[in-house]
Amino acid sequence: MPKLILTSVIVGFHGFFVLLGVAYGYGVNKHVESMEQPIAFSHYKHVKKAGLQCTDCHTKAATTTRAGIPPVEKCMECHNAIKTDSPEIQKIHAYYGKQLFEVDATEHKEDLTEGKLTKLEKIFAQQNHILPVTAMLQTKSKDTKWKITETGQENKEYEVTENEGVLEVRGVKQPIPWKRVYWVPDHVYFSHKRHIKNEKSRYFLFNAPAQDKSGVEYTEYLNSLNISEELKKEFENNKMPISAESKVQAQGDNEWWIMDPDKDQPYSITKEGKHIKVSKVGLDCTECHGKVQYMDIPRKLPSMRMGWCVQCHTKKGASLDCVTCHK
Amino acid sequence: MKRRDFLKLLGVAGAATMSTSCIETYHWMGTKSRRRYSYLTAKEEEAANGEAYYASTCMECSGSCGVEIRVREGNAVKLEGNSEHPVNNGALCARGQASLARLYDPQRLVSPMIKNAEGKLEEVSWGKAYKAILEALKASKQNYYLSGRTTGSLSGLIDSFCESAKVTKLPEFEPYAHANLRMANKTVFGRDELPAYDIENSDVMLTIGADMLDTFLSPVSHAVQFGKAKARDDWRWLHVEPHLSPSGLKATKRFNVKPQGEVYLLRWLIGKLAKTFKNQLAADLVAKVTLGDEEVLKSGLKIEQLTPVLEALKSAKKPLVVSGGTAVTHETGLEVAVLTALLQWGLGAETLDFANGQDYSGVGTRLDLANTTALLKDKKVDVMFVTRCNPSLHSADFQQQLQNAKFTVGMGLKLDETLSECNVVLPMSHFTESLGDVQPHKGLLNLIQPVAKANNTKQEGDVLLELVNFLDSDTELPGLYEDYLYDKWTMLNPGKPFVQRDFLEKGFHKVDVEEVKLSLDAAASAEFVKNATLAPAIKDGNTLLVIPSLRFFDGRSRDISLLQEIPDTLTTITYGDWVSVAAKTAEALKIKDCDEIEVKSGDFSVKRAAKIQPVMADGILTIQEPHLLGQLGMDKRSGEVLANVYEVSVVKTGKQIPTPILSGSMESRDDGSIYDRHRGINRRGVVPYAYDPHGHGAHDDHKGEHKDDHKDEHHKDDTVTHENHDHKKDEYEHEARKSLYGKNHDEYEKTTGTRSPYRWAMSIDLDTCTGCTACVAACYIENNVAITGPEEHLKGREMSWLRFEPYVYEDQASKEENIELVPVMCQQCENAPCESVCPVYAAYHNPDGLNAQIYNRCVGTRYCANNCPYKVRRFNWFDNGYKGRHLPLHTAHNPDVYVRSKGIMEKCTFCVQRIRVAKDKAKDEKRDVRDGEIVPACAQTCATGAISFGNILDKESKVYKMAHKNHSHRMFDLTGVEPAVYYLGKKGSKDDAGKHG
Repeated sequence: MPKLILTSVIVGFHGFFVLLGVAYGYGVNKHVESMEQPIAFSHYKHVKKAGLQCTDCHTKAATTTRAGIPPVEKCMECHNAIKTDSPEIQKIHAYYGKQLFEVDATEHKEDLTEGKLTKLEKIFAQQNHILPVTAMLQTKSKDTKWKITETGQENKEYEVTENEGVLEVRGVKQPIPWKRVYWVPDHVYFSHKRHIKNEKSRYFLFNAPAQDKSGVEYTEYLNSLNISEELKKEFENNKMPISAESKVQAQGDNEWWIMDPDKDQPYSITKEGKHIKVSKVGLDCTECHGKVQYMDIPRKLPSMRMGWCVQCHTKKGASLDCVTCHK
Repeated sequence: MKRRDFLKLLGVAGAATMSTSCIETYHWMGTKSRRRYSYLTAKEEEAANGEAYYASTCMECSGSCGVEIRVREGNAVKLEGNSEHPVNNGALCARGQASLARLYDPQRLVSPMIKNAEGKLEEVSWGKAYKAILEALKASKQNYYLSGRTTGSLSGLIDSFCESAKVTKLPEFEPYAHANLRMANKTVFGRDELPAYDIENSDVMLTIGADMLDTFLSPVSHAVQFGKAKARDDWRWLHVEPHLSPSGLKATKRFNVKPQGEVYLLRWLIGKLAKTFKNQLAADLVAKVTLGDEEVLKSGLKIEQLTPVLEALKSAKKPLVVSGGTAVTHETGLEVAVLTALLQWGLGAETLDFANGQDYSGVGTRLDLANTTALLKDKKVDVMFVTRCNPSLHSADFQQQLQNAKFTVGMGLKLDETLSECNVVLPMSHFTESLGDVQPHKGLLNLIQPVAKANNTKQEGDVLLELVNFLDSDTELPGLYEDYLYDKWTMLNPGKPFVQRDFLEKGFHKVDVEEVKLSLDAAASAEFVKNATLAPAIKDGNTLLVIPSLRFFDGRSRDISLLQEIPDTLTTITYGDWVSVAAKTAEALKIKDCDEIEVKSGDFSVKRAAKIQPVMADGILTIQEPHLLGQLGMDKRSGEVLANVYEVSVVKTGKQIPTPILSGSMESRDDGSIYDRHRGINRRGVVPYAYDPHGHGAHDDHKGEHKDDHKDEHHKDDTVTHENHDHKKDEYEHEARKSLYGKNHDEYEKTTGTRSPYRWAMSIDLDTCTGCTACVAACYIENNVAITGPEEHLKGREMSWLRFEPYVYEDQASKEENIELVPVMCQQCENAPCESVCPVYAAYHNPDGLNAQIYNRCVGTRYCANNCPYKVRRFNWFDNGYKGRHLPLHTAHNPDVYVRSKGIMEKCTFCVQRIRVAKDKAKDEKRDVRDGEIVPACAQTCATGAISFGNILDKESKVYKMAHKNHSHRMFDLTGVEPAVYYLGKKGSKDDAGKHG
């Protein structure tokens, strides 16, 4: 009897954790499912494989409070020509109102009268759209233009036009209903611009000699668009990685930027008295958003609670005044 | 990018309607939606955080002020005056601010309606409504079109419609048609028009009854000019009126005249001035008019009061005399208007601009309305269109006879008294959903530009064009009003190219007008004077004046709940109707506030709550309900309304009507319903005067943490005279308290290494503040302040962050009672009593010197409100911002400001969201915030520029200069809380008129 109790306690104890694990896995699964977007856009493919920068699409991140979701027009700049056969890209085309495909009208009507699956329906079916197409077409076949409303799928609408014996199928122009991943509460003011442009985020002072070893003045030295070995070492000491491909750009009289082609944010160099101040300009997008370049479905990684914000603000000497963020 | 530049960039884009695809949508609970929509194509507004301004026109009154509609994320959220517009110069009145509320009105018509067999209106499609109208039109011959005042292209279109659809256009209906003024101008100058008044360039203005800054013609335009004129020291304004108006309080000198006494005054003035007239009048006319010194006393004015007026007009180089309002809406109103015109002519008439006057040529008078009613009565009307006016409200006769029309078509935004009687009701678009133009005056064309997509509503122009095209398929008129407008606009300046882009960007277009050379019609004037009643019998006893309301004008703005929520300036009553009773009359009749009284004279009788009005002349009662004018008859000569009811009997009924009177400090109530806050407001002495030797205003700058910087402030500052300053010192010197929050600034310095370069402060010039309450309305809209309703107001739970306190005081110089209107908002104290009592640090002092309030931190103990000496903190007893708002109202929210929920204390923040934007921009440009860059909503809409805001640590800033003038003071400065709001008292009536008066 005591053995049975002991066994059941042990099994129960371990079982509890197993169940917890299962429940957690289920929750994660559900969460990932819930984050599925209307179009299976992959940051991994665009950033890591194709080599795009964040601000290439989220163009307003550096200039306005919000990063903004790129307009469909932006997608079409490339996808007008690239991978146009992919069903996912076809969805973008549909949202943008581009002609998707055309079928022969007489053939279509024949198929309908014979009760067969029409070509139009087959194409839609290939793209995993289940549509009550037949009914729609039969009732409205007298008109030259009619709409197919796809139920369930965010009410996506298609437009079919009969034109000289050809049925042209195009999507009705609609904004893409993306699911929101990041948001701050109503009482919070947050500005992307301020964080990307923020100049206090991390810096070190470099005791620059007035002249370098070869006798060239330091400012001229920087102007000649080279980075000295000493400075490179100092970068390493401060755990601020700098690649060999980095280039120096002059920004006005007393500021230089060191641009790393792999990074969003440059380093800024300014002369402050006897020192040279090297600071990182702004935050990398990944510092808050996680490594989005490896995500197929973007997930919200940090908690985005006030403590998380304040921790960073304290560490980096940013404003701690309440009304800076609270509205 | 400057806001103007931005506007320029976007003006054209605004003509296209906004797409529904906004980048961030708001859920109706006020929280953000879980969806984010991407635009199809990039929108320019995105460049500025989803914000854009589009030039348009306010359509709330005939003033037609230019506005910029602020659009956030696809929703129109605020109207602001167009800063380049010649009429309003960036300002807007309370009604203009609130007119956006019509767009989001939950009771707006959403679909056409047809009266069914049971006589009830039921919703139908546009097609069915059109069909009904067309059938009625085809079958009938006597068709009429009745509209409100129409200008611009729509006026021409209505004429074309009437011609091709065989409809007769009736004279337009306006409750205040200024019939007497127009008739007088016709008699004296031969022009049946209204002039524009050049206040700015005048040196003496005499207004007889005309409430220039409240409701008369174009109040915002007048207020802008008043602000500019007031800046000159030599400008004087003399005001004569029987009752008391907010405008009158702003005059350099105000005189009480007896009702109808204006005739005597004007006759006396003409007689005395005739010899010095620039343009001579005929001697026999002058002889007929001239009045002796004894007879003029009938007007109720004394000779010692009149002499300075005479002197002022004699010495004036460019005098302006205006009559209007109560002076012309009585039995001898026409005489007053004609005599004024004659006086104007004699004084040179240089300040009258007939070329740029408002166009009232199409507007009919009460005579025309009576004719229309007669037509209806005789059953001579088959189809009648009624649009943009509500004659049923103003005439019970019309309402009764309207049923006699066979078929009536009403067009409007909301069901009103007239529309609900119509057979077909068509829902109209709000002006922010419409494209069009209007003419504020003859020399200007204003643009109306759509920023929102109309939802099953149409513009009047579109409806008319569609009807014409249905009736006559060969018509030359285009099918769309948009095309009609563009055709009109291209033909605007024949010979010159019309730059459409300019028009769309700027929002207005100056039309060339011929200069008017005034000439006297001597024969007609003499003829009129011969037959005129020049010696009206002045009636003793109490007189009731029916006057237009500052908030609702002729009653048309009554259905905007925001305006109901804003207190009437003089009485501070919000909801409900009342009769203002002069204080002495009330005392004699033993009437108290909220007593129900019956005011009766012959057939006319009203029962209303009473409100005691200090300062108003003895024997005067006023009621702000212009719809009562319909019961009072009209002047048969001109068709002007008669607004005076003489020899009324005032009887207490014994009942009391709970009326929310908000003036004075908040007091606990005895019985929960009616309470007397009135006793608190008298003579609190918060308004010192420059000339007042006993004036308050211990004039200290922040002696706390900025002690070192400002140690010898006063002695350095040459604007403060030594005598004045020292005197104040003796009486009111108190030990400057060290700021409790100095360490707050030290903390900031420790963590950031810098001291905040800012200390935000505000100055309010009480001399130019007109009490128009536009700032209150702007504050409500900018900050999402909740509307609570009459029940909550009775409990003292109004939510306004900014209020007007009418302080009654005795003028030191003239020993007369006067009222000062003081706007009170959070004073952003340096030693704020609210901060120290907050248990959760929701109220705290920020490095810029603001008393910040962090809403999501607040737990609602209400300690701060109890400790606030100014009573400016407001507590949310309910979820006013959420539940109270019907579905379309959520889109009216300003997304920059949090919507407070139940249990949260809120207050004025000096528009911290605007400060944040300016600081952000300054940081981008690596500089400090410039003076004048931050304009809070209240200062933005102020027509007279009474409010300035800025950094008081910057000695070059306007607010520093204002705060250091010698008539500047702070409210309740003795408490030592060091407020950051500086009030500038009246400069004092140093001129002759005031001194002797």
